[in-house]
Amino acid sequence: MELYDGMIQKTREYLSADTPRNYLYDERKCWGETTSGEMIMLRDAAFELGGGSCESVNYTCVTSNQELVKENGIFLYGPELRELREDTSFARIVFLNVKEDALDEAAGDDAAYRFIRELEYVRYHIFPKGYMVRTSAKNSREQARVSRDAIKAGISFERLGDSYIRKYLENPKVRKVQVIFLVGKEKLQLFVEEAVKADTVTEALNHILKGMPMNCGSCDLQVICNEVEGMRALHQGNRNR
Amino acid sequence: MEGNAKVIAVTGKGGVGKTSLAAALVRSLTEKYKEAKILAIDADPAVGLATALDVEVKETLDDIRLEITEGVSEKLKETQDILSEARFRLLDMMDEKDGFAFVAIGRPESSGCYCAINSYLRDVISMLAGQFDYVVIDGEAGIEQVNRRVMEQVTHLLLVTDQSRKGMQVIETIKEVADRLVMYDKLGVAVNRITQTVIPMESPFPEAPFIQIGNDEAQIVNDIQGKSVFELPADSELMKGAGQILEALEL
Repeated sequence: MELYDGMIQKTREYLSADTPRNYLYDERKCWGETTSGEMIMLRDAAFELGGGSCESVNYTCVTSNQELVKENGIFLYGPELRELREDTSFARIVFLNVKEDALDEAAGDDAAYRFIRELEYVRYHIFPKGYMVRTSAKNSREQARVSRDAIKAGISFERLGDSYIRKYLENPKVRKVQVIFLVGKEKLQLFVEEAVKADTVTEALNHILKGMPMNCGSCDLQVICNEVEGMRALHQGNRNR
Repeated sequence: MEGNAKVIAVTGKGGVGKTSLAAALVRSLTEKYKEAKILAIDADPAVGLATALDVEVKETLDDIRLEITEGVSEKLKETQDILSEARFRLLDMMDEKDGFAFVAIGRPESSGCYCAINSYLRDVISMLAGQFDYVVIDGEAGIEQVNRRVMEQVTHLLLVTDQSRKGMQVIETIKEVADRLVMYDKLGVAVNRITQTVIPMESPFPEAPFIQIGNDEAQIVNDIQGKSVFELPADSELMKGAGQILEALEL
């Protein structure tokens, strides 16, 4: 399935002028977690990522193209947590390389859609210590309040990234994971657009795989069908089944 | 609720000073436990607790309910997304100052509400409250609040009355309902605004701590001037009463 490949390529294109800090995945470095999250009050916070008037965005792209996501890794564009002094803009973007059969639309009903959703929901099930995340699916936003204690204890994007990768890899159909953190970037609009596109593709996938009758002439999803490589073929294939 | 939060529900007849007492409890807790995470929940549609604590009510739970209900038909389709959205917006509406956080419930759930959203919101507020050390709930007049899930795992039930027979009857009714519906560990009774001492006061529940708080002129002046409970002298009747309540309820 190549539905999200264009978004992966676009994201990389937007970042091509910058050089990230690149950390290889190391399970031993994973940051500690709490069982179900914690409340960090403002008085105990060092700063917020994507909070207040700062922009934030989060999206996940899934591919079975091994060339696109070759290695597990963390890519940090911007300062590390220990270098931050105030609230800043924030994006967390995840690229997942998954086994072909996980996205096989012929596997039945909406299995591929459910699989992709399951991976997106990993964000709701990770609770790093001293790092209070809140997510708005409606606006593709993810914000995090970081405690002063966590900063003192050595929390970093590298270690957080390791925790996220470990969580994704718990799914046996996930082969490789790349986590990208954009910190303090002045404009996130281009990434917000990719987030919206990724979300629209996932929803369109749901419609198609559920076999909902769709007349292309009057369908709201026609734009995304035309734009995203593979979507039209998937739709036609599903209609002919 | 999750965790070990101590959840104190302040209930009683309207006009007996529940809100002032709830605010005084919040202040006492912030002074006693400077590092603790304290949440004040204003469950009265009139949002009087906000004034007593001098916090800004940016939005209420009711506003969020409406917004999410609209979102459900558009982008929010999956339970996990709705729950996350509810949490996101709840944290948005939470005001923080002087060592405590504050949320206002707003209008009570109406029969025409989208039931699933109410259920999600109850889950989220319950989960969030569980992440605090102390939660003080100022309930609206009467017993309606006792039926809500946010009250379901109250650990400390404080029944507040004045010296009137009616006030006493109301707390007796609240206790009856609470005994059936609320899993509280400790019960306390506070008689507030005592002005006469000729007839001795007796608690309808002799087994529970019984705190008597004299009429507080300083609090009346504070109210008239629109000042918060944080501006009351520490030795005012209300603040002394709040201190006695914390002690009696082993908080």
